[in-house]
Amino acid sequence: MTADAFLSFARGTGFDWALTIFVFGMLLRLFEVLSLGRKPDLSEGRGSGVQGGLKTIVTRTLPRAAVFAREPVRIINGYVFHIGFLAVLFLYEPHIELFDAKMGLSWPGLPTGIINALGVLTIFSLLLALALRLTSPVLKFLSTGSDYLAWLVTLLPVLTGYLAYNHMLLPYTAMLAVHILSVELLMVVAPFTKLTHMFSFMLARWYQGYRAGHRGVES
Amino acid sequence: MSSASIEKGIRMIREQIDAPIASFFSSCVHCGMCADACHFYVQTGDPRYTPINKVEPMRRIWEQEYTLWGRIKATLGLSRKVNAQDFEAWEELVYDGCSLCGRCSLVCPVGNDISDMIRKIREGFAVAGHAPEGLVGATRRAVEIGSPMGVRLSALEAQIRHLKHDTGLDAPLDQAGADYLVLLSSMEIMNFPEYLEAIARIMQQAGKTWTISSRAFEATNSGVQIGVSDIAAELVQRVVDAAEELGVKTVISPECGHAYTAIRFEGPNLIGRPYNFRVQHILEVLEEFRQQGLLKTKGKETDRMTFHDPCQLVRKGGVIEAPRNLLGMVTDSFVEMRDHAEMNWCCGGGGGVSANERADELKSKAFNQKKSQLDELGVDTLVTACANCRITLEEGLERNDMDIPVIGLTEMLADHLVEEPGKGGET
Amino acid sequence: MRTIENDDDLRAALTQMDVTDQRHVAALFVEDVLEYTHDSRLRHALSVVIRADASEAELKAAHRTARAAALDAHARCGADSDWSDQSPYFVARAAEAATGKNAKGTSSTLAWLVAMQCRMATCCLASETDQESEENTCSAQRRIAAEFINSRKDNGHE
Ligand code: SF4
Ligand code: SF4
Repeated sequence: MTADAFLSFARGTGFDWALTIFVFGMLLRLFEVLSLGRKPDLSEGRGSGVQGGLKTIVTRTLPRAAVFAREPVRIINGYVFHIGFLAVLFLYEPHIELFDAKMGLSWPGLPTGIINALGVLTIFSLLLALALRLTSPVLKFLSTGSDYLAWLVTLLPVLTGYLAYNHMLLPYTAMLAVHILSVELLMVVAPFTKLTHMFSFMLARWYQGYRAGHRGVES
Repeated sequence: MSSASIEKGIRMIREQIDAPIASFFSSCVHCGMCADACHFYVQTGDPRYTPINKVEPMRRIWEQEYTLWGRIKATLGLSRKVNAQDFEAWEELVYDGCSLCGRCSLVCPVGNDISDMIRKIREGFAVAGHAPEGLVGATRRAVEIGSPMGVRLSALEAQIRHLKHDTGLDAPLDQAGADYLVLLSSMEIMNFPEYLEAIARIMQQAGKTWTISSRAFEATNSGVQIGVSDIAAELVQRVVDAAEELGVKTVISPECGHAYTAIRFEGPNLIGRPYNFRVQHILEVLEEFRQQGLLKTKGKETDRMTFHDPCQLVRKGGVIEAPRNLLGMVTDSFVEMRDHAEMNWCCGGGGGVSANERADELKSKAFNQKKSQLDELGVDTLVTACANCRITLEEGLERNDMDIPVIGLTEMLADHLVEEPGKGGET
Repeated sequence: MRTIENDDDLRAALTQMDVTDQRHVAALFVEDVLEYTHDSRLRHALSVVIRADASEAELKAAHRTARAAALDAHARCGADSDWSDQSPYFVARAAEAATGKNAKGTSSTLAWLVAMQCRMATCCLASETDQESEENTCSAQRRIAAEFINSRKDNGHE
């Protein structure tokens, strides 16, 4: 297969398949959660569950000082790769053009120099995340194959994107095809790993926040 | 254990899984933050005590039963079913290694209420016969005698006689139409009878009528701690029946953390209907009295003191301001611990841990968290509002050679009440 | 000759004493119910209080001993317990209070708190119908306090 054919597969059939699996997979996962339902809370409320739920979805984004003090590196690093990943995904001009073409939505991006730097930062941040996972007794203990897989499929798009942009390792066309495939791999894997948290975290925060709001306690 | 009871346990765990639990498992990113919130992990350094690991058997059941991918994996033999060895291995984590303090739930970045997950997995462990002996006995006594410690009405009656004799105050039994129905914890009856006297004095000063039910004076709920909802419901029902029969407007939960959340928030859900009376923690009642000007105190303590927030009160019950306002009435030298209010560290004895003798060593390790908080602060007196915290703290302090007395807040307030002439004190 | 007729008198008399005297009387109260416990540490702790020349450090050690005894005797949360077995616990609590700091700024004095704990120790033992033993403890306390005050007077303390 030539690099061009490879690229057009990645852009065409490959992408369509990946997107389908991603969307249906995620919908299925969310359906699996929501269909279990929950019983109404019969206790006398002290506050609003809805308010508590919505508030927690937002506030839980920041760590509590008491815990931050114990693990500053791990927590800051968590922000770095989340923000870095989202920035290169959503604020890189060619990506925005792609979203525009597929969904008709566009927004301003960041200069490519900054995106390039963010890409490097994200790669290093993900490497640090792996190092922490391999050295912290708790993380090592908790981690399963699925955690390392999720790590790998998150790293690959950033790494290949960086290589493609900087014309490294492979000819541009081939590297771009590899880059797109790596994104597709991420999309296919996401619904079956902890990467579902990209959507389900809102449900989790909502449920805990709802209950806390009802009881009138912190969350 | 027979495989039949393990099957029952698995079925029970499956029944506990609802949308919130499923969303928690779906969201966990294995970041390990919850470990840093848990005194059992922080003080032992043993990663098995990572909160989310305590519900690993429940996660496997969830994945295998409620997710398509998990079912495929199970069919292909890629995942192992939960078995008797798992129950064996996790029993200690689920009961000894968790005081249901709720601190982990507050720090999980994706919002998992891990503490509640552990509360729920206990339901399965209890029916599978994998609950600690101490808790099993306490639960049996709660059902048969009405108190987890086997406290009988006669003991309470003896205390009431003592109260009348020595202070002239009464603790009226079964008085219909009283403003308040007062519940007690067995710990208070056995170890801290000062609480009853404090209530009698405060109620007298506030001019409120109150009563104790001879049929349902116990506030604690072993059913909740061990994780048997049927029993928990029955224990709640006893209080509800008594309150409704006596026609009281408000039921007061005593200085016990879990008793409060059990009757206040779990109760209506356990019996399947709302109450037609209010439930308040004693500190909430006292705070109301304070706001209405019904509490008159004199004198201030000069000791440097701090308040140990009972976990269930701050994190699951939302009673945070009341103790601070009340302490303000009787002391000017109040200081806060570094992590206080909703981020307070557990004493280590909650959630049934102190009823479980097997857990003693672990409990005293976990106490070191409290010790370091106190060492940093250097106080003369420690105030709290839970009889179980109180004994756990006293024991921990004693073991660590720390000379800090522990007092109940209600009792301390009662000690400062302005005596009204002609009331109390006579025989 | 001073006599103490009722609890109001007793409380008033105790309130007028300084802490050293209160401690002394309190220790006598505890001795009166000491038969209810087998914990020999308590007797030693009390002897420190009664000795007039006990140092701060000795007192502190006695207090620690009494507290350890109380914690050893307490009814554990959720454990099968019996009210009539709680007597030693309350005796130890009484000794702990007698050797401890005076409650400052409160309406209860040290000796009165000790008196109450001692009565609780008898209360546990009183069977449902018999209230006499607790009454005995009360009258013993009045007598002990009165004798103490009188002996002080005789020694020209007042
Ligand atoms: S803090 Fe939350 S997301 Fe992180 S490991 Fe614990 S449960 Fe999972
Ligand atoms: S509830 Fe408390 S004790 Fe239990 S796992 Fe969470 S932090 Fe640890």
